[in-house]
Amino acid sequence: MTSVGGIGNKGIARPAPVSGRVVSLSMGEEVDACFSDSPPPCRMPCPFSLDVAGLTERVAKRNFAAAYRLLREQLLFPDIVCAICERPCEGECLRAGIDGPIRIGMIEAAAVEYGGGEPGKRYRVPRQGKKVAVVGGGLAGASCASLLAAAGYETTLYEAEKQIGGRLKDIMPEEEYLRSLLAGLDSPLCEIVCGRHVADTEKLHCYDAVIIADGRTPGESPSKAPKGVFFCRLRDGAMKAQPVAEAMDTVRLVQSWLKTGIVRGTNPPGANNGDRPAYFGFLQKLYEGEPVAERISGAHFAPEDAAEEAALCLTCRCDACRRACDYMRSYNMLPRRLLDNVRMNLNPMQGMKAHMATRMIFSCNACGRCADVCPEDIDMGDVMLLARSLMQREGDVPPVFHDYWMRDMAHANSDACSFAGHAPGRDRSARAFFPGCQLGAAAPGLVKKAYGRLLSLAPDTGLILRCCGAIAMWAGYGQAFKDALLAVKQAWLGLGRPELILSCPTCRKVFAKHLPEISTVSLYTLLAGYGAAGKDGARQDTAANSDAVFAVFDPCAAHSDAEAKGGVRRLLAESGYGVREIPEHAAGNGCCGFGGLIYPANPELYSEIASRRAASSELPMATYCVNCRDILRRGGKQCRHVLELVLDGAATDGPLAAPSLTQRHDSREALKKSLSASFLNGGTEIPHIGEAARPLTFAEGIQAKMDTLLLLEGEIADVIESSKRGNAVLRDGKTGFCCGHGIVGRVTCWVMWQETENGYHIENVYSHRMAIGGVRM
Amino acid sequence: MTCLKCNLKLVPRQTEFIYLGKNFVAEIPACPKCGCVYVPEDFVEGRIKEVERMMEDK
Repeated sequence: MTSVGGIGNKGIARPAPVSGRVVSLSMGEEVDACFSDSPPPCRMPCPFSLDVAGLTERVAKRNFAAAYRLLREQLLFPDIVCAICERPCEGECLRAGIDGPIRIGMIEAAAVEYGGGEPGKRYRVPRQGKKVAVVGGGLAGASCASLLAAAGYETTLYEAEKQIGGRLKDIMPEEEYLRSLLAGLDSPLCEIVCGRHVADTEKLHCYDAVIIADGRTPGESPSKAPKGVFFCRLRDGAMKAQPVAEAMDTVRLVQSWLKTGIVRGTNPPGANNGDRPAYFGFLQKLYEGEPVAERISGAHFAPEDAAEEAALCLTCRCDACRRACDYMRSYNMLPRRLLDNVRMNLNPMQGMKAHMATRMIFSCNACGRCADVCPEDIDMGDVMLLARSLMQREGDVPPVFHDYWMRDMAHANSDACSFAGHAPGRDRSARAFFPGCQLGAAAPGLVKKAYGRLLSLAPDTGLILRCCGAIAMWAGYGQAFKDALLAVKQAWLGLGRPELILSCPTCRKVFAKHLPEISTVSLYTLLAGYGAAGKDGARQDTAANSDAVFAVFDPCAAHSDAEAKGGVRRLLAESGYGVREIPEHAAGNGCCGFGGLIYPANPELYSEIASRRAASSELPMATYCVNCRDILRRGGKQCRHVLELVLDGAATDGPLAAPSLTQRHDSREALKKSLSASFLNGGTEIPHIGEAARPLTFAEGIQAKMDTLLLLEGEIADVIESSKRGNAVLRDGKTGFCCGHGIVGRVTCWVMWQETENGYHIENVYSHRMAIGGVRM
Repeated sequence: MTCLKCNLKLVPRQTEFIYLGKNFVAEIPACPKCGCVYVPEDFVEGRIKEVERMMEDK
């Protein structure tokens, strides 16, 4: 039996990384252009810049009281404003292009009808000890007086007529606006003086400030008016409810002047009056595919009608990246909030969780799809990669997140697997084939055939086998990435600066950005240019392929690689295959899940993404990234590498298996061995690529389990041997299995086995990231 | 579970685990003589993974 003790903390709280803090400040520039937080178009012509999305959200939830409170906060006299407003907001509503604008005016009216009635809360505001006179009891003056009294100023409202309201009497019933105005002016600090015409402001010298709101204009700005006298004026063509908005602005000026003695000019609310935001057109496109709804007609909404109408509001907040990105959807965040989390992670405040966003930062595929769909080309992958490199530099990342893949990269670049040389019998290379680290591991036969084909087309084609460094780049290991790039460059220089033929889209992306001095060409474009169907070594019976149709799964790294995309399609068509597009790729390719090496940090998201991609087309798929191929195959998809189809003409039926990690590891070594032992030392053929022999057999499902745990067969054999050598073998009395454990990379690996005549039969394997410390005897 | 070296049955012992600079103590089977431990798979899949995740997010 096991029981759990307490969790201690031997370490001390780590201070915020200073370097991270400095660099993370400039990260804001990455998302500066994001307009997801910009106001929606409907707010632009509104004198109040009313939060329509907030209103519709509340009404859609049938929370009319909250909707009315929002209106009162933003419109001051919602009963009056909603009754007289011309509703310019509806003219900008993006729903107009779908099934008609949201009827915002009627939703406001519903909020007033079903949520109004109760007087607003009265807060105990400290008296400011200053007196203000407001001349003119129309809508503007009453608004000024109401706001000033609510802010603690002793306010006197002078009206020349017998009753306040001014021109309102011409546009709505007197009892309605009077009820509303008098309720708003009901304050012990507010005195209403009717029937007093104030012609000369000099007579109001006992006040600390005077607001003229009776229609008079001084012909100059408030700051040039006599000291302490402010004019609440309306511009020509102002909307009927504009006086309230102008009053709000004037009161802000007056308050500022009373407190500081300085008149600070402010823009009136809705400063962009009438101007359509620059992103209007983009939002319009974003909502083009929205389904048409059955709209409610009539001139009055019942509560449920208003809620239904409000629920149709699009809220007009750009979320194109979140729609396209599984990662952003999973965290339900847009770029600005993602960045806030990254910054908090890099600059933890004392007492706060330091690494709350670490997993989030390491869950991004860095595939660039967000930039594809963003009108401002904001690539959150770049932000996450920068954050990763800062965190790795500070040692703030669980090493297990990338341990396996960094060891895999080291393996690809080891002497056992890496190679650079001219073609057999040649002393120069006009071009060199660079298949990358993954194709040779997952499909060494394809590297062999593709290279053979390239040699038949151009004998001066050299070969470089190694990793471009993308693994280290994704993991955030800046130095390891630089080292890998340098090694590639040295190999390239050693071959005399040949043009590199790349088959891996990720290599293409890395080369374009980090090794721009190296000229590259896509293998697929090159083969298509030679006419694949008509050359030696290419698929001859193109007619046999005519019924085979494939959906092309473009790898994420090829998202902006038009050359490779076009080459692949031409090559498939020339080989007689039918080519179909995957609809969701029209807005940018999605990652298969491998990108960014998110699996160890977030296996759930990885699986979700992989399943989603496998379901993105019902047709069998053709791709040109071998990791995409294998991940889609593991998701049950019939998926072929383009080179298989073009060079093998492989049939499309029957199950397609993905090689295990061990097979990949062994194949990579075997490829190098076979090439250097024969072909590149004067031989004429590339020999059969064999598999390593190990004395291990496995119970059903154990090899697949090892793949999910990122464990290799050789490592399992090592654990058994080291357990035996260290005399640390246990035996299960019930099953008779032996059991031992050992360290593999950064994990502790447990193995259960039975000895067989020729070696070991592995019954079970599991691992954990924690290290076992001391036992209290 | 028996330790082959000492030929003794494992008994529960307080054992320390270390991850990301923090420690975690749990009672797991260990050889009473040589201290050779056994971490059962259900314990790994349950509590250990839970604590690992917690520490990675801390």
